[in-house]
Amino acid sequence: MTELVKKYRAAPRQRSPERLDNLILSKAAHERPVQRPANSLFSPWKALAVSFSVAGLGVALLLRNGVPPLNGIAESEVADLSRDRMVAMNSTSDAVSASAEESVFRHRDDSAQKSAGAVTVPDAKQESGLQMSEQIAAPQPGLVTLDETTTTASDSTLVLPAPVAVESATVPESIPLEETDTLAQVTELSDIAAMADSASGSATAAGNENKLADNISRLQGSREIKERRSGIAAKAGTEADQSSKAASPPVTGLPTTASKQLSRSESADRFSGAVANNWLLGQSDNRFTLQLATADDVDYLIQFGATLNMPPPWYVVRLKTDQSDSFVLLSGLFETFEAATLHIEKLAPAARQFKPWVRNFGVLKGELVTP
Amino acid sequence: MRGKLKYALKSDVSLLHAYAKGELSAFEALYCRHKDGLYNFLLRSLSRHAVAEEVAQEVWMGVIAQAASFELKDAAFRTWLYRIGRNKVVDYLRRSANQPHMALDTQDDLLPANQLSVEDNFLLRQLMSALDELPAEQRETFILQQEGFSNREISQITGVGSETVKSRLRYAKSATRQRLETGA
Repeated sequence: MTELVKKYRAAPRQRSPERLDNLILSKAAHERPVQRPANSLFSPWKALAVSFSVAGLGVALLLRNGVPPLNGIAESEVADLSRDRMVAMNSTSDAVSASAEESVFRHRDDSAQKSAGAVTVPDAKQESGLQMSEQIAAPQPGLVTLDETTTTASDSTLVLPAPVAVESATVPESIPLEETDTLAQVTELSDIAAMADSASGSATAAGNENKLADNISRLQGSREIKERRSGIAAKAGTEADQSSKAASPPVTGLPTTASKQLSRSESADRFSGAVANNWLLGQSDNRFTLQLATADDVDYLIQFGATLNMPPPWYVVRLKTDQSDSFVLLSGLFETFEAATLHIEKLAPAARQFKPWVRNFGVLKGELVTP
Repeated sequence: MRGKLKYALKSDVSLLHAYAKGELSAFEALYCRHKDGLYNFLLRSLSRHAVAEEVAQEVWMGVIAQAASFELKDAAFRTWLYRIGRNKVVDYLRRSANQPHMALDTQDDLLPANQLSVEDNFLLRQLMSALDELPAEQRETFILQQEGFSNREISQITGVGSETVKSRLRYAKSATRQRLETGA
């Protein structure tokens, strides 16, 4: 019996029919259960986990890209904030100037080092930018900018073919120019035209008159220049009669050979002092200008301004601060704060190296030191 | 090959849970593992291929239906599978008791053809004829033991005590021996 049971157990089994296998497997595929529900322990925490994940990603993105710009703030608010910052920085400029004095000496040329002045920068962090002598763009003697009234970001500049050779022997020395008022316009070619008109009767200026006439004839296409010339020409004509001084060579806002050869005292008189003060006091309180640099030495500041490739008007005025008075280099006329801000980006790198400030003429008039 | 090896190393319960998650291949592996044993148990319990196929289909459909809710308690999957099969067999026998007698398949149909010697084939046909004469509970107990279940597992499948299983096995072997010796 035992042997028989062993044979029974060892006997090959009857295999399941293939048709039964196919039937059951097809039904298994058809009746396949759907995906089991999520773990009930995790379900209550799923929303919290997703929230933390999203928040973590947001923080990671902020840390990586930084805080986005405040686009939602109105432009007026931005302007107010910038003005407040400008006033605060201006009040502390004297304190900064003391610390920046040593670095200024390192960047001056030999002649500037002899003076006792010190250039101050609007921001103490910009001390490294004082290497202006190395970064100042090369002068372009052929460029003269025409516009004195209001300079905006879209002001056009006209390139004249040949500058007036102010150092030449044909300079109309007999052209009388009054230092106080005439120098305010002498930086423009339109003034040169006025000088030419006023000096037409002078025999000594006959040689140079032709050159000036040529330059003027090339500007006939500019309506603005025509109007400007006619207005200034009348004024210059009267000034020429009143002035008894010898005519000074026309000095543009850009450095020329002649302007470099001018004595320090002469250049200081042209861009500073009463001329600049009158220019500043004559502006509307609602207008703006750019303060490019600050220094205790007016000569150095004027030379620095002459080397910059920027359109006139630019002047050096003396402003009163908490501790001491300083000379500041002002450039441009702007109707709005935004236009002045936009114009900063268009300045030459040499002019932007001290981080120009947008100054309000009303504020500047209050700080102006008058003799 | 890699998939087959992956499922071959998994337990029955893991395969069933995998199928409950939607893996049809897991069910295929589980079915191939137990289909022949269950079919033999059903065939030798019912003695008819057609009935065994029908009952086997019902058994596996029950497995499919309860796959998602299957929980391993005190019995393995194989024990649970055979318990379902045994219950289906009992149900069929109860239903067929009131029906007209249906001719059973011959013993030759119940054994694989051309896989046994003539002598062994003759002896096994005598044994299976003797088993058919046994009471249903003794026959099923004997067949389950030959399928490799222990007395405890047989008790779980049939729902009786272990001592009852032992006595059924003892009576089944004694009666079978007497029938084989008498040559009935």
